[in-house]
Amino acid sequence: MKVLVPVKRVVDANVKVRVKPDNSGVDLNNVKMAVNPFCEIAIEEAVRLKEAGSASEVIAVSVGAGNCQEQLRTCLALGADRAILVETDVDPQPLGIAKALAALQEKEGAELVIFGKQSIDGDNAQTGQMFAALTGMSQATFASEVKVGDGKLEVTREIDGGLQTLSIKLPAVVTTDLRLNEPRYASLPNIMKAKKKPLDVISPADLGVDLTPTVEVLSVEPPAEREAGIIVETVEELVDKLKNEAKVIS
Amino acid sequence: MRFAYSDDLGALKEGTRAFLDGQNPPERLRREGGLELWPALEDMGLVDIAASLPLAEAIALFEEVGRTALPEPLADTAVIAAPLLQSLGAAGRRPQGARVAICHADAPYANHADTADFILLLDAQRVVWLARDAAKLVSVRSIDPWRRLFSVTGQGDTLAEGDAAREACAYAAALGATAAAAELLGLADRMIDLAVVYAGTREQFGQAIGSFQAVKHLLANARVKLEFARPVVYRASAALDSPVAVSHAKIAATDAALFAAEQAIQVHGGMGYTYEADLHYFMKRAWALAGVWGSREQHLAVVEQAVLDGGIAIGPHNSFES
Repeated sequence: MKVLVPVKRVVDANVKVRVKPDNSGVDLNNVKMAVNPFCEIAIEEAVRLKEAGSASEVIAVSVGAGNCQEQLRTCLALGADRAILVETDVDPQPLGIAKALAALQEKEGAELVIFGKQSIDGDNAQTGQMFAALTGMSQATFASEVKVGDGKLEVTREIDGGLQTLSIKLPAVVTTDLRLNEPRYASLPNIMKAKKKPLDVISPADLGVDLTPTVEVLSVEPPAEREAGIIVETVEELVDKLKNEAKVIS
Repeated sequence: MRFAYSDDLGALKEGTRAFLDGQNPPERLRREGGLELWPALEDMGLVDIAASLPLAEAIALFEEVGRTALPEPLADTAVIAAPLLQSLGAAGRRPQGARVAICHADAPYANHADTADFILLLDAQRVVWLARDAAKLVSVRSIDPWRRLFSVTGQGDTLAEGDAAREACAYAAALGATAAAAELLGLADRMIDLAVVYAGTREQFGQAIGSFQAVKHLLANARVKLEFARPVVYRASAALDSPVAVSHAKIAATDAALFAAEQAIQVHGGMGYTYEADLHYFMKRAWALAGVWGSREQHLAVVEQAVLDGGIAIGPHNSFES
């Protein structure tokens, strides 16, 4: 079973991002970039499936600028067998990415596609679902456990108030939740080996897809600054403030 | 000489940083436990890679080791014992995965000797290979809570004597001083980073203290000292047979780290001196490393002697010579 894992290059989770002065987006100059943490979980799950003998090949794929190769190399160091970059200068959006991945899936014949449930920059949580709709593959989102059966998957999902277990037929799409696994660190020998693993660069035109954005970002605003708290002297003062200033009790 | 990392080495350095940042954060240093990360270092390939790379490349990894004040004494096994055993034709003495503590005139107390598999005792007369069980250890307290020091005595196998022992001893001193210098660079880097973060968040007079010129100058001076020390250490790692280069590196790195510690303390104000701030772990490691593998005075004497003997071209007209 071939496993395709889409990965996204995002700002490192430890970086405090800043909005550009013209509010057109987030300032990415000199900012450390990394593999989207949910995509890292997806890679880890695919590699574990391969180590368990359930998968035959793990292919990491990214849609974006040339520098996404850095993150694909990281995925190769984590255990992916090969990588594909669909290179574009356009800032791709979920629908465009899903279309490119759908074309790639058809070309590669992957039976399982594991997405991160969302990227930590856009927080859209759309690409996996759009991809499933475009390809007609069965889908299980927000997975916290994946078991491979005979021609099917048993996926446990985290939902409000509990867990839901689904059985879906292959080929299938899974999106990973935070608790699916804990990604490993790439060992230093594997980092060296990753340099020699194949990384193909193709264009959207090779896949016959158009990545032109369909959604326009009008403005990006930083969250409102949290106001400093105050220390009240008595319970009566607290009740008074809650009633008359905050107006949260009557 | 090209003082820049290759792409491969850059990737190894980045991988090492990701691993150590994740596995050896200040929260771990606060627990003050044992060397439980050693098996993970083995699994990561860090011990083998550090031992197999030439020191000029391995120091890139030791900057990262210093940056997180890693308690596991990686340099003793990978940078000193491995090449030393190789040079003595005794590489087979160390089984795969075994950890070695070092006892040397310039580093007289073996770090974490109580849990090492073997201890290498070096002096100008003899090089002795000692199984830990055959060693008599006496605990010595270090200022760094993560350095468990021991004086070591015991009967072991002699690996070298006479001239061969003297050469091995000098080789170990050069390796140890350069590895310590690389760790000191990483420590200086981290202490400056901690101070920069603190200066960006601590407010006084309604604004971050980092916006005040007097605070900026402290940190800028520390950064300049570090960046000037870095190429000196890189040079030493590629010229271990030059005692002057090695001594210069240890002095420059020590000065940069101690200066960074001092400035970071000032920036942190009273907080920097407290147990609650993370800074003191890095500062204490810097103090400890400043005192091993040759004191500042010892290394300064080497450089001074070389200048007086005419072995170093000094003066502005020679700035870019040699």
